[in-house]
Amino acid sequence: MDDSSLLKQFVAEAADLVESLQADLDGLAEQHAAGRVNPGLLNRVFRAAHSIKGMAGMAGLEEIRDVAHRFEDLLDEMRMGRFRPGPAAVAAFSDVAEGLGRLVAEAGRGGGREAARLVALVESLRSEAPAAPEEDPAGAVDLDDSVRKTLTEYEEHRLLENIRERRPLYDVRVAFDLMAFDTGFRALNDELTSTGEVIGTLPGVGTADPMQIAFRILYATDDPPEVVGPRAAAHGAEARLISHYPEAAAAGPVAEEETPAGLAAPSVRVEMLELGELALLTQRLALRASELISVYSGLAPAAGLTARQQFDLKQQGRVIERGFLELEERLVDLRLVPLGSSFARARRLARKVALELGREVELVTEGDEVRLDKAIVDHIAEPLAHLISNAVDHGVEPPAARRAAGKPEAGRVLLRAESSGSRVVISVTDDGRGLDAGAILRAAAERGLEVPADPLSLIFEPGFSTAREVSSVSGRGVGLDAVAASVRAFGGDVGVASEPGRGSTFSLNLPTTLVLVSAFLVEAGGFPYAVDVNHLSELGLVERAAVSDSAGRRTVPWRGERLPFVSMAEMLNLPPRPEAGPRLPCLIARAGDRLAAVAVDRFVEERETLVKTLGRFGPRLKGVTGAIDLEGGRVALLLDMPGLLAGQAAP
Amino acid sequence: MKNVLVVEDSAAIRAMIVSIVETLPDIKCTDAEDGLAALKALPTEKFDAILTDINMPGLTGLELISFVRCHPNYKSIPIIIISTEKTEADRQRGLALGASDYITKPFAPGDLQRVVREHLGL
Repeated sequence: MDDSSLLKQFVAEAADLVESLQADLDGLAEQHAAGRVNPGLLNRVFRAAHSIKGMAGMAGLEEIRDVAHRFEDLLDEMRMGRFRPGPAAVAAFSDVAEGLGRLVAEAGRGGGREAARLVALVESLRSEAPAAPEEDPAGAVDLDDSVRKTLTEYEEHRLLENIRERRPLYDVRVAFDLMAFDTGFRALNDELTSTGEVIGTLPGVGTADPMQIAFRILYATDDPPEVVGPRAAAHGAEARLISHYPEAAAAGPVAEEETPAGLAAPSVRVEMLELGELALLTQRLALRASELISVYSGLAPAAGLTARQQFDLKQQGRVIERGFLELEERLVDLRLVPLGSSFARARRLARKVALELGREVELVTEGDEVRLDKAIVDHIAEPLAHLISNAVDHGVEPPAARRAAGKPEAGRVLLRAESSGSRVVISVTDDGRGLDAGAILRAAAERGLEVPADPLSLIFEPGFSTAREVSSVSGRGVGLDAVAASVRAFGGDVGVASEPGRGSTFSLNLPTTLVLVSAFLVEAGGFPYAVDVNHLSELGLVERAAVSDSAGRRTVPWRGERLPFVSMAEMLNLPPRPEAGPRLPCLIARAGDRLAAVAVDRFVEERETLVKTLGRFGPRLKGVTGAIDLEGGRVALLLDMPGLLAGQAAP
Repeated sequence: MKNVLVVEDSAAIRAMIVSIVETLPDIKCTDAEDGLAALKALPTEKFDAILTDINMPGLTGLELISFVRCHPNYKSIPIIIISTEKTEADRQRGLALGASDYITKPFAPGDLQRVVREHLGL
């Protein structure tokens, strides 16, 4: 192999490695922010740096080797639990990876300054953390020495780390046919990796058959033997619990010791939906508590309470209400994540687009630490990517045009997040040519569109920005209507400002918190309402004639039973509507362990949607837990079905 | 014709090692991208030496060494570790597990050829 083909192969492979490294670093940043770094992921990140270093060394690319080597060292310290980076350092990892990507792309053409910058960056991240004392497994774990000798240094560290965390360890043994062992082995390995950690894989003993190959897998998982046994058996393997932690020790040192590698603090993972449900439950409890207090207050004079006692009662009521408010706020806070990793992704995108188009663009970010609901962060990824590539593609001019306009060749795009109360504004500002208001107005006239007070906002109109003549002349890309629609769908809004020749700013004005639910939309009393599908058993059509009324309690026959019947309009005290048709659309709703039929005007549809909270300190509307934005600026209230039905049953 | 199994997860380095080793007369190489692929290759051909990286996904070089050393058919195959200065501790472990020799990346082609010839008795 000659040198140039080695170099080509190196560049291709290293570029792939850098790309997967970047994706893994995004995942690492997210896990780090959530307080739990998966050791397998961290190890993969380390290995990528290690491989880049190895390849660069063999290809004689000393600068790349030096940067990768230092980065590898740092990551090694981190995976060994000796370096515990903060969020800023983890975010800087992405910069290092990007820099490596650039050096690789220019391999052999000398990137001296960039390499020196990266070396300085990596070195600035270093900080010594006292190594967690590694305990000897003797006594706690039933492991022969030959096993430990086969583990690499890192694997041994992981073994000790798992012991320190008192995680159950298993010796999983399996034998496969030598000629076709890899399929079975990979399936078993995947299963174990997805449910725990594979610390090491060792030769098994006791297979007399030379056509068989036996493995022993050292496996750590939180699951107990009664779960792990069948899990292994499904792959023809046997699992034996080999850790025996003394009870007393489990509660003692672990809780006080400094946190293990990559962990901000001991933590558990919680599903986002679970958090949403907890918030809803809190709201319902708060409502019940305030009702209870008002009942007591009403009884107070009759019960002959003194003024002092009545005052105390009210005070206690307020304390409980405040407690619930705080609980709800803190639950909502748990859903917030910093924008840092979204911004890191945007920075890479800007660089990529600029590279493809031959532009020179510097992307600056501000407000990486601003936090937003995870659901919103996920939803704005695409709109944000759109605005960034538009800014680079259509906003910033080609270098020659910039020179002619007396601007620096390198364009500047500012991505900025700013928090103001319950809203966050994310803006993308470029110093490019700006929007051509005249061209926008002409295109609007051609289409017969009405011109609003702010003519620039026309570019968010459906189909408008897709017009080629407008895009090229106005300096704007396509698809801004899609950006606007997806941001508005969860209660956000878009804005634009521009100065010809100086640049443009596109902004997303977003709510900070949202709750995602599967909502079923209906109409009742002529208005749109939504119900959480978790509160529904099914949908039905009930014969109007089958509704029977006995002593004011109405019931309908349903699947061999009689269910309480109520109309949603009545529940909500809406004026009665003229009744139409012999069959009533009914929600068969759950109220505790019972069902009830709730008649509505009509069914609309089910959708996964984001729910806006009604404002922390706003008045609590009875029976309402939030609001959902509908098309055309309309809003549907999300009903607290169990609460409303319980209220029906009471009188 | 001697047969050398080259186990290395970087395709570029693997190709380079193969090209260096195959410039020696009467030697051909078989390559594997990780320890598991190497285990799979072992029963299919007769190998005269194994060159293996340590840090690999799936099955590491050390694990591969212990598998090879405990199998009656393969336990006497010479194993040469390709290590880096970073993995010195692991290289020691590999030698303790029964590896025959090591070479440190980056290496000069002549050094690799010398080590391979030595263990093949050429």
